[in-house]
Amino acid sequence: MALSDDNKEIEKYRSYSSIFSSSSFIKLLRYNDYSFIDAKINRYDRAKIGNEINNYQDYIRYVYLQLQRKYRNEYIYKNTFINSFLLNHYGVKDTIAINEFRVGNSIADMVLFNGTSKAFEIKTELDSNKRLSGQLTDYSKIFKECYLVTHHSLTQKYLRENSNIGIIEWVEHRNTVQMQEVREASINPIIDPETLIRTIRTQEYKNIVKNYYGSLPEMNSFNMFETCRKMIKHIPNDALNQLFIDELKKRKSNTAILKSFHKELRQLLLSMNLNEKAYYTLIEKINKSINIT
Amino acid sequence: MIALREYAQQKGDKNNIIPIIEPVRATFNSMKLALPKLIDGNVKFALILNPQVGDIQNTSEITEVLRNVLSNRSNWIPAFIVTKKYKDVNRTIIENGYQDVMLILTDMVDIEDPNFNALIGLSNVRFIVTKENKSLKRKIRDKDFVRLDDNFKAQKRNSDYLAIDEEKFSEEHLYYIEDGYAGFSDYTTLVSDFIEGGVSPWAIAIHLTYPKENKEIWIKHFVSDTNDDQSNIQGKFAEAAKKAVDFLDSKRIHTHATTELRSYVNEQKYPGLGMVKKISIKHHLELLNDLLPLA
Repeated sequence: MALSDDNKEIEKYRSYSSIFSSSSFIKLLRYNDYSFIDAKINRYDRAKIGNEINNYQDYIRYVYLQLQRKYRNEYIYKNTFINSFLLNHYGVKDTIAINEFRVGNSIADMVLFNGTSKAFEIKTELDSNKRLSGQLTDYSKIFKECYLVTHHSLTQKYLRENSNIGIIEWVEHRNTVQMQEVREASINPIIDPETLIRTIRTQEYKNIVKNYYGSLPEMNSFNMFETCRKMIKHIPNDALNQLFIDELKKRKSNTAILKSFHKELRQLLLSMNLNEKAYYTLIEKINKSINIT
Repeated sequence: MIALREYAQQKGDKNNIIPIIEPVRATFNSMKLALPKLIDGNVKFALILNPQVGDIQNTSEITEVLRNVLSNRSNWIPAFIVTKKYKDVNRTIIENGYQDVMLILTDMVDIEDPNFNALIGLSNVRFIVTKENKSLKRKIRDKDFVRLDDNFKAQKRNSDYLAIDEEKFSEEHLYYIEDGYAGFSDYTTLVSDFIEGGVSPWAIAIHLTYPKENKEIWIKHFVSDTNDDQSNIQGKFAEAAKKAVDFLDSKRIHTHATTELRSYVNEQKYPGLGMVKKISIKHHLELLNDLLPLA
């Protein structure tokens, strides 16, 4: 049975989607391995090479635009969120953005720490919303504000379903895409210390205890978690929230330099936490002409 | 590599073990540290010169970077993993004049292929490491066969070992001579596949081998109890390690590796996941070295 043209198109976009993968870009950086891009060029776009597309950067931009028009997956949403919301609306001064942040049994697509803490869950038109309420319950245990990022056509449905979360929607004006805030998130009055200590790193919960109480108590590595857990429970909630935010802002992140990166690649580079030097090496590599034989 | 390094220093006078080492890191740091220690401890080792995994792109780097350490060829055995590239391996052996070479056969090997037969027929080749392969062993009589068994049955998640508790690991040390082998080998308490990196685990499992009364080697899995999230890895280690030490005490098992594990429990110290793995491997090496009669 032959695939219908529609199915073939979708296959192509799925295949395009796999280009924006950090493990593939790590291979490119380390071993000059272009095969993950070459395979797509060979399969779909040989005829374009030498006409409108000359180097890998051109091709990545072309693929990105195709996806943005026809197959808006999570990568496109996250990257658009970074470009139009994080960089323009919030700003990155004194801000740390972290990609894929685990809380309880859920993983937030993106979280931000600046003066406050925000968690973002992305539901594209291609996603199901099966796990959404559980995810939001988890995030609200330690984040002050929770946002859902979704397509304009789904906004009304989500506005009705949950009254506490903020909504950011994807809108298109002719050829440009943007994101805009439809509703602000309401602020969680308290965060849960039990979830907090299970989410952050050992050094981070030790620092929180040390910063609040002035020093660490006598403990060994076997009882350290229990000892700190009890002490963290006694820190007033507002102080704990502030210590948590301060601590997470110490994590190494390339958030501040995202704006200097190519706009199609920002989400990828955030998730790889690539520094400036490695970024320039990568740019050199993708500026290479495509030479398909 | 740390396990091997320490084993070489602590094993005492007798050694029955030839580690087969596959270099995977292009930096060679751990090799540069460990190989001289093996040589000092008179532990002859086989070094795979055509690694199939890891990030070494140019395999000739191995002998270049480690030239000083490998200068005395009587200290080590050149080893090759045999896939379908029989001619490549053949050429490398001849070009470098390697003697007493070890071939490690994969499932890709076709024993009817003339190029394979040319390779295995080289007088430079001495050791054949393979899964039980009766037809090959009948055909080739003048080589030292070493039987390779992948004994460690990996579970998907560490918490899955809770239900298994213990299982038979191997009995080859009892039968390999009778079965016409010059030796036997395993992947210690690791899975045979090389796995890169890792994330914070939900459960900690410590795998220790020990001899049953009938001399079979069994492997017992000691697993943490609070496995519902990824927090408090130190506490998870404490749970698993206490179970392990209780068992070791009841069986009166003492190796350098178990002494180390006992001291972590006594001092209530978490050594890190790498050390847990090291203890498990070193313990297995010490155990087998003890069990084998030859000096």
